[in-house]
Amino acid sequence: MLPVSLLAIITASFFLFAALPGDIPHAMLGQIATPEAIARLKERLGLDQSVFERFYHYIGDLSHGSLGESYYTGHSVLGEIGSRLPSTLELVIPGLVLAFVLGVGLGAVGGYYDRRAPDKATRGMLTVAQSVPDFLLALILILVFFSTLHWLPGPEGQLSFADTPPPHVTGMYVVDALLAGDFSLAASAARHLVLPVITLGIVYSAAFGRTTRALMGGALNSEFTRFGRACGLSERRLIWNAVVAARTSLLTYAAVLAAGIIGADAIIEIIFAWNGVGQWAVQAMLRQDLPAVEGYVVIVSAITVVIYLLLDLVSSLLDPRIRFDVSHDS
Amino acid sequence: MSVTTLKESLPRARSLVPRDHLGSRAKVALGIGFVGVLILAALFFPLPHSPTATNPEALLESPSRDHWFGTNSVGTDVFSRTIKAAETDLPLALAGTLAALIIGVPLGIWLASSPRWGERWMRFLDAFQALPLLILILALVALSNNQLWMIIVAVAIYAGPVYIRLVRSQVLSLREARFIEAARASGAGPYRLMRYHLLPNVRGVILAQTSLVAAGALLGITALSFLGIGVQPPTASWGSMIALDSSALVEGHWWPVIGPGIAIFLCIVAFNLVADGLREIGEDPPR
Repeated sequence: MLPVSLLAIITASFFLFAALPGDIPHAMLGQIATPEAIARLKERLGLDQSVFERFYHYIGDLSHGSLGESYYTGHSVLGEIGSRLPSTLELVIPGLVLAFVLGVGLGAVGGYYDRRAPDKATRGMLTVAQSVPDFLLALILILVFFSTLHWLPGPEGQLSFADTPPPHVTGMYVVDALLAGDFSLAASAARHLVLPVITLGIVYSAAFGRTTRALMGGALNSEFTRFGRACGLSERRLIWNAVVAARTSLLTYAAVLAAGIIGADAIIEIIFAWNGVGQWAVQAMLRQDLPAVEGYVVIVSAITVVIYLLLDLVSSLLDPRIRFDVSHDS
Repeated sequence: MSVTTLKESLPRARSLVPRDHLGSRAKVALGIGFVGVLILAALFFPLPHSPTATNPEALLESPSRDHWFGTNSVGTDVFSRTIKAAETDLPLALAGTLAALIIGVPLGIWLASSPRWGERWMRFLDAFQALPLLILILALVALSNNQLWMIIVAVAIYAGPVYIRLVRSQVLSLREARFIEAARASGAGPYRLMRYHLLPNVRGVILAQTSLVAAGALLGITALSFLGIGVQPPTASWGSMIALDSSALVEGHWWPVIGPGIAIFLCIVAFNLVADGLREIGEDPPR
C-alpha cells in the first residue's frame, strides 16, 4: 500500500504540473529571450522531450535515489531539501506539541464545564484562534514582543546576525549548540524559536480544541462517567478516564495535523526568515522550478504516508480493539 | 401527572424553542449581512480615496480623519483599499465554495446510492487525502501563471472531498430510516426519494458545512496572496496588502496591516457565526 500510494501521488503531481500552462523558459530567461537561447535552455533542462519521456527519466532517477536538479541552482533537489528539513522539524515539532497541549487543555476544560462559564470562555478563545490567519497572528506577535516590548528577537531566522551556526550534527541549531556545549548560542536559538512556535501552537490548537471539546463532552456525558461518579470515583479520575476513552481519536487528529503542518508552515517560515523547506518550496513555486516543487511534493507525501503508518501502529497498540491487519490495509 | 398539569406545562416548554431559534437566526442573518454589506460596499460605496493610487508624499501616515486607517508604504489609503479588496477576495472564496458544493453533493449522493462504486471511490479519496493538498494548491495556482479561475479550481479540489464524504455518510445513515422505507414502499422512485425525502434532511448539515468551507477558502486565498501567489497587485487583496507592509509593521507601523487583518478576521467570524446558527437550527428543527 505504501509504495503504491506514493507512486500514485508522484505520477499524478508530475503530470498535473507538466500540464499547467507555465512558461518556464521565459520565466527563467526573461520575456525578450531569443529563440536560440530558449531552444538551448529547453535542451539543457530536458524540456524538449515529451512529458512521457521526462516521466520515464524521472522515475528512473528516483529508483536511484535522485530527485533531479533544480532548474536554477543546479544543485541536487534531495540535498537542498535534506539540508533544510532539520530546521523545519525544529520548528514544527514543538509547534505541534504546544498545539496539542493547548488544544487538549482548553477542549477538556470546555467539555468538563459543559455550557457553563469556562466552556464559553474557552470556546471564545478557540473561535478567535480559528479566525485569525496564521500570518496575521505571526505579525501581531512580532509587533508586540519584538517591535514594542523588545523581549524577543525579530524575524531574522534561526539565529542573530552576530551568531555563528554551531557545528553541523543534526541540523537543528538548539540541539547542535547544546551538543557543542555552547549554552549562550543554544539560548539564542531557543529565543528565536519562541514566536514562530507560539504562532503555530495557537493556530493549530483551534483544531485540537474543537475536537477535544466534542470528544470530552461526549465521554463526560456518557453512562460510564455517570456510573463512575455514582461509584464515588474522584473527578480527576473521571476526567482521566474520559481522556483515555478519547485517546485514539485524539491521536488520529494529531496525525492528520502533523501531516498538514509540514506543508502549512511555509508561511510562518517566510515571515520569520526561517531557512526551512517550506520557505524554499514556495520560492521554487514562484520561480516555476519544477524539479524542486515536484521533489518537495514527493518528500512531504512520503512523510505524510509514514505518519499515517505510524498512526495505525500506535493506535493498535493503544487500543486493542483496533487490529492492525496487514492483508486488509489497502 | 394529571392531564391538566401536562397541558399547562406545554406552552411554557414550547415558548423556549422559538426564542432560541431567534438567536440562531440572528447569528445567520448577522453573518450573511456582514459579508453581503462588505461586498456591496466594495462594488458601490463611493470610497474616500482611490484604492490603487500611490502617493509618494503621504507614505505610512498614521490614521487620521482624512485617512481612516492611515496610508501604506506606497501612500495608498488603507481604508479604501481594504474595502475594495472585498470585491475580489470574497467572491473568489464564495465561487470556490459553490464549485465544491456543485461537484461534491451530487457525487456524494451518487456514491451513497451505488455501493460498488462507492467503496472504490472512497478508497481513492483516502489516497487523495494523503496528498499535501495545500502545497498542491499553491503549486497549481503558481504554475498556472496566477490565473484567478485556477484559485476557484483549487478551492474546489480542496473542499470537494469534504462534501463527498459528508453527503455520502449522511445519506447512507438516512437510507435505513423508516420514512425512507415507507416512501420506497409507496412506490417513490430514486429521483423522488432524493428530491423530497433525502435532500431536505441533509440540507441543514450541508449549509452549515458550506459556511465553514467558505471560511477555510477565504483563509486559503488570503494566505495565497500573502505569499504572492494568486491575486496580483495592483488588484487589491487583503493577503497582498498585509505582505506589502509586513516589514513596515516590524518597524512599528501597524495600521497598514491591521486594516486588512481585521477585515479577514471579521469575515471568518461571520462565516463561523452562520455555520453555528445553521447547525443550531438543524439540531433542533422547528415543529
